[in-house]
Amino acid sequence: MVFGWAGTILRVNLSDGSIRKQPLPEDLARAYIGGRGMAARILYDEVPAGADPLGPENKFMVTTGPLSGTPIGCGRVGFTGKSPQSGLYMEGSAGGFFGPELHYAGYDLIIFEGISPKPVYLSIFDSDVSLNDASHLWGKTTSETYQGLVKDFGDPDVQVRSIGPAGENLVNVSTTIGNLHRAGGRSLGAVMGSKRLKAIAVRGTNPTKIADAKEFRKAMDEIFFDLNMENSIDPFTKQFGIYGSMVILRYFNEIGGLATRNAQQSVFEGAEGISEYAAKRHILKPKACFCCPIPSCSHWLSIKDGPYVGLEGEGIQTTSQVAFGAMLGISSFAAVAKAHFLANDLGLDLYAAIPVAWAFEAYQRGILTKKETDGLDLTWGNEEALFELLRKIAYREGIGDVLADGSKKAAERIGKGSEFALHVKGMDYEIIHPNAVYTHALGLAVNNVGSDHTAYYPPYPPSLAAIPAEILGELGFDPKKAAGRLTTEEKGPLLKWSYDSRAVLDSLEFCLFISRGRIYTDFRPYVKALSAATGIDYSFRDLLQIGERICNLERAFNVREGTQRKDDTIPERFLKQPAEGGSAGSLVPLDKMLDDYYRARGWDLRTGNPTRKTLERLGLKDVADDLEKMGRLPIPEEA
Amino acid sequence: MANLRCIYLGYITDITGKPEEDVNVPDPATLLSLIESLGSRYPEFKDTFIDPKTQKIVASRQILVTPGGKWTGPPSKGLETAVEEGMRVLFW
Repeated sequence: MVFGWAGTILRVNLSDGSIRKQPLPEDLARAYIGGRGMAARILYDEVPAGADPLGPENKFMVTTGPLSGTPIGCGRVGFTGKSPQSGLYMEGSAGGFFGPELHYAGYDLIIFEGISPKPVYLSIFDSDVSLNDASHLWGKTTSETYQGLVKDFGDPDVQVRSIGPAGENLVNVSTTIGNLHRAGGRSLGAVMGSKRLKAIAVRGTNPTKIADAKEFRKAMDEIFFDLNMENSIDPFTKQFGIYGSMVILRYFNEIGGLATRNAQQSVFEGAEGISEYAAKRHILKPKACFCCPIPSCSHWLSIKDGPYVGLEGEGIQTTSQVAFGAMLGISSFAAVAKAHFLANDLGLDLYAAIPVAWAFEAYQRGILTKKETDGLDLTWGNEEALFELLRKIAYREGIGDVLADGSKKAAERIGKGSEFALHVKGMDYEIIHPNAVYTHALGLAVNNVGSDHTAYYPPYPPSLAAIPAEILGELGFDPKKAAGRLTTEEKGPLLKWSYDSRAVLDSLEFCLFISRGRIYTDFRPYVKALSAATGIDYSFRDLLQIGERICNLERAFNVREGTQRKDDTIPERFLKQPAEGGSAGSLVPLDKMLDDYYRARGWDLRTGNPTRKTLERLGLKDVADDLEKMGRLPIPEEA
Repeated sequence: MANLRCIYLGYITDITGKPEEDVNVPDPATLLSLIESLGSRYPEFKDTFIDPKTQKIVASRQILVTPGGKWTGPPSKGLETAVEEGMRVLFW
C-alpha cells in the first residue's frame, strides 16, 4: 500500500492501554475503499451480534479514505460503531480538518476497543501516539476540552474530536464534536463516553502519496470545473456555495415539507424568521472545510441584536433550522443559533431537538405537566425552555433524563405518546416531511442507521439535464421516470443507486454536499481520481459494486441483530396524516415502494433481508453463511 | 393582469433585497413577461435568469411554479409558460 492509503490501522485497547499499529490489509482496502466501507467490514467481523453498545465488546472507529488530505475536497472524517440508541449499525461523518490531519499522521483508521478504567484522551503526532490522563478534561464542555487540548499540545492547529457532558453521561442523543462546531456520529458520543475516551487530538506532517499526479490533477480539474459556481448546471451549487443548506428551508415550506411542531403540521408560518434571509445579517464570514471548492457552505455567525447579541459560532444548516426552529414552533434565527451552539458545546446531537419536540407535544396534550417537566412551560415557541431542556438532557437531570435516549424511549418511560414519538428504528426522525418527497420517505424507511438523509443524499431525484447520455445505462434506473416528487415510479431502483453511490463517496471521504450537477451521477471523475491516487485501476462498475457491498454488509449487521421488513418504516404519524400546503393530501404509499426497493436490491420481499445469491454475488459468502446459521437468511422461493 | 406571489431564495434575495413579494403582470402573462417586469425593478434579475445568447432560462437556475395550486418541476414550456392569477413562482 504505497499510494493513496496511509497503510496503517491504529488499534487502541482502552482496557489495557495498549496501542498497536497494524498494516492495512490490501484486500480490505481494495474491496471497501476506505472510511465507511472498511469500518463496516471491521464492525461486522469484530462486534458480535447482541453486543452491548456501551460495553467493552463494541468498537468505535474513526476513519479516513485513500483521497483524504488531497486537495480534491476529501476533508471528511468518518465514525462507525454500534448505536446505543437503536442497537443497530451506526455510521456518520463530519467536515473540517480532522480527517486529513489523521491521514497526514499516517493512519487510515483508528479502532478503539475495550473500556478505560479512567478518563483518557488519545494524542497523535505522526508516529508518536499515546493515551493520556483526561481527568482535567472530564466534565468539561467540548469548547473547554478543545481549548484545553490546544494548550496541552501547545499548537493552535491541533485537530480535536471530543465529547461533552452528554457523551460522558451516556446520553443516546449525543455526538462527537470536531474542534468547536463539527458534529458527527449520532449517538456515538455515548459510545466514546462508555469507553471513557474524552477526546482525540491529532497532528500529522506526511502528505498523502499520489501514484500518478498528472492524471490526478486532470481528475481534480474535472471535478472542480463542475463545482465552479458559474459553470455548474446545478442550481444548488451556487446557492449552497453562498448560503449553505440554509437556503432550502423555505423551499421545503413551499412544498408543504417543513415538519412543524413535532410534524403536526408541514407548513411553518414562521419559516422566514429562521431562514437564510433572516440569517444573512448575522453572517460574519464564510467558513469552508479542508480544500473545499465551495467557498461558503458554512459560516461564522455573530448575532447582531436581540437577547443573544454577541453570541458567536459556526455551522447552522437546514437541520438546525428545522430541528430547533420549525419543529418547536420557534421563529427566531438567533434562538436557533443559540440552541445549535449550546448543543455543540454540550456534545449533543442536533436531533436532540426531536425528543424535546415530543415533550412539547406531550405537554400540549396534557400527558406532561409542569410537575413532570421540573416546572418548565413547554409551550410551542418557548426558546428558554428549549435551552434548559438541552442542558438537562446533557446532564440527565429530571425530565432531561427521560428525554436523553430519544423520543421512542421517552414515550416508553412515560407510558404514553408513542404515536407521536417520531423515530425510525429508534433513531430520532429527520427534518423533511416524508409525505412531501417520496424519495425521502423510502430513503428513511430502509435506512441502515435509522434516520439519516445523508446516506442517500440528496433526497430528491437527479436532474435529467445533468446526466451525460453515455452513463444512463450505468445507473440502473430511468431518471425521467424517477423524477416525480410525489410518484412511486422507479423510486426503488433510484434509492438503490443513491445508497450505493453515496456509500462510495463516504468511503472516499468525499463530501456529499458537493457531489452535485454532473458528478451527482457521473462517477467517471471519481474513478479517475481514485485510480490515479492509488495506482489501482477501478471502473465505474467497480465503484458501484463496492457501494452495494457496503450497503449489504451494513444491512447484514442489522439483520444479525434481528431487523426485518417491519422495521423498514417511517413514523406512524406520516403513514396516517397527509402533508399540507404544496403537497396537500399527499400520503406516501410506502409498501409498494419497499417492494420495488427490495427487488432492485435482490432482497427477499417478505423479510427485507439480503439473499444468499445477492450476498455471494458481492463476495459476501461468509456473511450469507453467518445469517444462515442464525436462521436469518431468506429461504429461496424455489426451495 | 395576473397577480403572482414571487419567492426568492438565497442569493436571489441579494438581488431583490426581499424574500418574497406580490407582482402584477399584464396579460398575456408568461414567465418571460414576469422576468422582464422584475428586471425593470432589479437590474441584475433578467440576466440572472435569461441567457442573453439563447434567450432561454439559464441552465443553472431554477424556476418553479404552481399550476393548479401544486408545485411542479421546471416549467416545460420554458419562458413561454403561462402564469396565472394567484400562482406562486419560486426563483433560485
